[in-house]
Amino acid sequence: MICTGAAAATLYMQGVSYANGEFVQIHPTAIAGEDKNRLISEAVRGEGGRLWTHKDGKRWYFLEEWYPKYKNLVPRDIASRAIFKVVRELKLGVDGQDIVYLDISHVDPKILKERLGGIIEIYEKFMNEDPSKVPMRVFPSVHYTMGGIYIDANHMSNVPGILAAGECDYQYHGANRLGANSLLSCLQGGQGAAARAAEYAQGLEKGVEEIGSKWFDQQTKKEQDRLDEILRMQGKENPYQLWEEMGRVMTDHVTVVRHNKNLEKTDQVLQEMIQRWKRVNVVDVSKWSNQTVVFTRQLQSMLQLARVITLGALARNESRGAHYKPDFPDRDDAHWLKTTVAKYTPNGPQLSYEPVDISLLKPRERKY
Amino acid sequence: MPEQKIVKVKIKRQENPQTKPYWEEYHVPYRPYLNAILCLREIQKNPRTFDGRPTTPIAWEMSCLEEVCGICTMVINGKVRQACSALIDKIGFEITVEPMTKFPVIRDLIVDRSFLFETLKRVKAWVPIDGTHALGPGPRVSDEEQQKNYLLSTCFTCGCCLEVCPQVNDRSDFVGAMSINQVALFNGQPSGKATAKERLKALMGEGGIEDCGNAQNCVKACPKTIPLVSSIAEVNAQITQNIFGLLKQ
Repeated sequence: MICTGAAAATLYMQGVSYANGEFVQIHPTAIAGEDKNRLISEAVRGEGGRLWTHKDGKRWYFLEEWYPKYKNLVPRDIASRAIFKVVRELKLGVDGQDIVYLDISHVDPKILKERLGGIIEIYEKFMNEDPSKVPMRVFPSVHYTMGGIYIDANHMSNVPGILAAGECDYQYHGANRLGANSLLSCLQGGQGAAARAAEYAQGLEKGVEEIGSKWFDQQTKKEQDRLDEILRMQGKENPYQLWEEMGRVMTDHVTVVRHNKNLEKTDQVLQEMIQRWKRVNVVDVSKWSNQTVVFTRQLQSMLQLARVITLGALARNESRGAHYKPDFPDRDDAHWLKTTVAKYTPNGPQLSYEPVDISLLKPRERKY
Repeated sequence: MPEQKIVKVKIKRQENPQTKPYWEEYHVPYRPYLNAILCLREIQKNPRTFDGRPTTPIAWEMSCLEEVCGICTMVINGKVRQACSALIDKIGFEITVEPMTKFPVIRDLIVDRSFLFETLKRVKAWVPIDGTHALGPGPRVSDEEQQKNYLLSTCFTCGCCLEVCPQVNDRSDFVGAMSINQVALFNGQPSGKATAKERLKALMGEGGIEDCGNAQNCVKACPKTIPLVSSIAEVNAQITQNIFGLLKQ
């Protein structure tokens, strides 16, 4: 597995600040899967896809009823919350499950094939049903982290020489990314970071050769010791089970709807897990392609990052973009028009806040 | 309560490239939409063989889990395919899983597929662009051409076409259908045409297009249903035309 958040989290544990961890975008429509929630792109609703469920024996197009102006094209956070309301609050999920229908079966199959061929194919492959004939069964899923490594305008982090670009940084998307904008920030960020990296390297007084090998040897030894330690872990916990537990508690309490009471409880559980991690059994002691050791190492960082997300959300008593607290339903610019910056300490993240630059564009109320 | 259905999973394992392979069997509780990846993950969470003997977690690679990255390609029930889309409901309750055979095994189900990426370099499967300055609008492509190229571009370097090709073996350097299809794709694009001849040249000689034996297994094995045989025919024609100076640009 490649994308676990562990790379950014490891840097965070080494002193790189992490910003806006609490802003995690939930995509409204994905095929729920045990191994992965597979995304059903917004393009489906763009081509006329409609969300519905059964109510009183009839089809109920809830987004069209609730948002007559934007209908099925409301932003991701609003659509996700609407589906949660239908399923969790009103208990109107399809077959009583965490499912609503995304229906494209009324659109001309030829257009479907031309414009949405890839999506239809994925659905058929993994669900064994044809979306041009029957509605797709979908549910919201974690999609994108707006937060990430804290960087300046030129993509340099607070540790000189460490630059970040793309989804791993926190720039550009604030509390809620717009559709297709991750590519834009990748391109912009990539160019910015590349130029800054070159400039930084050229401006250095000493190159690698002049520094000598001392620092590198020291760090190599440190990491080697850590690896050896993990190889000796013979406790009772299975790292993959621990990881699944972490995923479950985070999905339950730190995604679409957030309550302070649950966030506090989640952080307790995460702290317990950090202790339980010390009792992992790696099972495999081979030094060749040992994925369990690599994973166990990464899991340690993932747990720390989960705390950054949870505690950032706990502190932010307002609702903004993807971050939604029913107890604080409004955006509170007076107190919270701020970037969260988390610094690692062995006792947990230390949060501080910075103002957001709004000199070019004044924020206004979001209305749908 | 209904009886818990069990999926029997037999896996061909190998500790490292120097050791001999061996088989192990595991039992995984069935549930709807279970796929081969989930079976492997279930074994990771509880690494024991079917008779309760402790074992090591299986090593394998995965990333996208929706048939666009290609790295979870394995031989499942004797057929090469992606493990993510191998639904138990479709393939049955007894499955065998083996690493691909045309690439060196690193460990268990992980193979070294660098041969594929080397051949992509050999045939120059890209459009060279000099610098990052604005190049203006690209050439227009008709809808029909776009549809055709799109299909060719869905190749995700999984290697299924090489696994089933009798011409790809220890005694040959044949690049396989995948790279030839890349040449068809890039030579068929207005911006790729400028360097078409270089790609054709790369496919002449040892390991090139002449090594194709026309078994046509590739087109049957391709998970994206790319018309690989047509791509090979197209590139073959281009090479012949190029030899006689007749290649239309």
